[in-house]
Amino acid sequence: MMLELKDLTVNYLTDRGRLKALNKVSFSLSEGEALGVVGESGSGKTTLGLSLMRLLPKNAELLEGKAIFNGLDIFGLLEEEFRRKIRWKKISMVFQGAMNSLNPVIKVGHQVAEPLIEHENLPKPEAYRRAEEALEQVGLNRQVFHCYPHELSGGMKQRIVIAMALILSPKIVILDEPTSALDVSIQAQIINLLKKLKWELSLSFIFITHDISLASDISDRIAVVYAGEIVEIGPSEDVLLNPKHPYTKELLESIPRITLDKLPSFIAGSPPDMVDPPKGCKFHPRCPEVMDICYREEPKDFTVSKQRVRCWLYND
Amino acid sequence: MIVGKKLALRGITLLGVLFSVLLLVVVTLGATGLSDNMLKAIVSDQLRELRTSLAQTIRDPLELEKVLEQRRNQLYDFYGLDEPWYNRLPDLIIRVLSLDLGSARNLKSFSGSSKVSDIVLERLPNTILLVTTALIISGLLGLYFGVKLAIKAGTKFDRFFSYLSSISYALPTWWLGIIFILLLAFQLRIFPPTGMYSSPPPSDNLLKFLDLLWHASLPILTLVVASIGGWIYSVRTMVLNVAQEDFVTLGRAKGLKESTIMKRYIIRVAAPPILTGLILGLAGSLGGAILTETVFGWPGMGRLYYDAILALDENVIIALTFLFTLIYIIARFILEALYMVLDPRVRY
Repeated sequence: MMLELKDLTVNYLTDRGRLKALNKVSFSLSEGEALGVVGESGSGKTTLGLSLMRLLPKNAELLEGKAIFNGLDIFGLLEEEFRRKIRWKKISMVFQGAMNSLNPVIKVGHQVAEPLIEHENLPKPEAYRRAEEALEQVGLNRQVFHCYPHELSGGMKQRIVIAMALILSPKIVILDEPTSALDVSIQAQIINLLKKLKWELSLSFIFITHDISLASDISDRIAVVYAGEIVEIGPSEDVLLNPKHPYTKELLESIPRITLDKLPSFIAGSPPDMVDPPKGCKFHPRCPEVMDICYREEPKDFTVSKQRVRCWLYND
Repeated sequence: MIVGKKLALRGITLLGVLFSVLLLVVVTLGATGLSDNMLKAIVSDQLRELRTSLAQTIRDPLELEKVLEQRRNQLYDFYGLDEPWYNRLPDLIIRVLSLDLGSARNLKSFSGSSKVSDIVLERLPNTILLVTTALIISGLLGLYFGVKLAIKAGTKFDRFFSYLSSISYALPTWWLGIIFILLLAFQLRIFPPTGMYSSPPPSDNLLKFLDLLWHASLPILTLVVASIGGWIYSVRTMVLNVAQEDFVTLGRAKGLKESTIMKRYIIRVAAPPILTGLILGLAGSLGGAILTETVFGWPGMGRLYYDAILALDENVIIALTFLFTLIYIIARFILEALYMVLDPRVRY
């Protein structure tokens, strides 16, 4: 396994108290694999990405968890060491909202080349040449190099942010809602581009999205996140066609389908307040298959066929 | 090419602003009858003096009145009072616009000249020494501490200095000046309370300059203490605003050094609004600080404006208004050009 994440638990200190953003999140990622992380907004998806980049905001506390990347302990390294060895070089990230991801006063070409100049100490002409290649790789014209961000469209900016994430040939790219701000046709272009890059460069993706159908398009495996926990994880096909966790089932029911003569249903209730989450299983107030134990005890992880499910239903 | 054309257009617009401001001042002076009354008062003063001196030589009252009437007509003609204000004052604008500031009606320079340009040239260096120096000091300190606070935003250090700077911001300059005079000049006798030089001033040039600095310290201190808070606070806010942008996080994610982030991702982006404050502040400082200059008996531009208004010296008022507006407009023009260089998003 290239990346092994175990029991990641993150809290935010807020004015209202401790916000439990992530609770014992574990998964592994192998080379060339794409893991889709699906969940509602506020479920902790972005926190997951930021944790791996070690870019959590100041009020976050990492309580527990280990992340081993090719034998290196990500959370254990010194900040300076992590910055030089792993950040962007091995694990890079495409942030939510490409619109604001670019520095407005620096030419985009230089921004793409910056990691090469700062990280690899490449001379400028060489770095610029590689940046131009990277721009072409994501389907942009070389001329774009000399543009400022405000001169480009949303789709172009998104491509630039992707080129930027690929410039140091990382092993893993974390994509945090990379297409949410784009219209559907551009979205499809970007997804196709990502699939192509993944195949050509044998990249691993952690694809964070709220859109389960989008995730299914690109991911080999899917992790469904609810209230800071991975409630179900498994190969995409199994999770989509044979969901085990009640939340996954409800989530799939809520997708409108053209071919089915049935209206989409919705999940009753609303996501829990993470400062004061429900006791026991966090999904129990909304769960149609709730049992006594769900009120009292946090569920453990169970393996059901090819999935790992955090639900008492599978307690034998 | 296009940029040059756009800048030229801006320049013309700004000159239009200059003209409008002058027109406004003139209309205010004229339409309210203030100008007429001022001039009539001057004429009556001169006639009263003439009457006292003539009364000795001309015994016949009728003869006296005739001579006085003649003199009055001459004076009315000289001041243009025989015409309505809207015929008289526009000439003044045209003269002032051609940089001929004319002569003051009753103010004089220290060397005795009544040419407005002489008066201004005498006062301007005093103001620059005092107000501009204070502005540069507080601007630079504000920049330094503002950035420092923004980096440590939310900590006790930040909170403590933020409170201090809001206190500084709230202090009235004149009050602070008086307190400083009481404390540092009268109680502790560290600085002189008023004036620019000791009397008599030292004859040696170097000593004279040091004497001047010694006299300037207290008013400069006052201005700096009263204005530094505003600077610190606004720089801190602007830097913080930029520091929370997504592209700063992305810069960090790219593994850039913290110093690079600070220089190229935060300060570089926050620079235009900060520079605006600095350059407009510099331009404004040339107008002097009326209250501080008054409290410390410092003959600068602020005092001059104040004296001109008290003495109802129309020519000086208009000349100064013109100068201040001109300075502001030049500063604005520099800013417009600078913005284009600093922020690629700005294209007019």
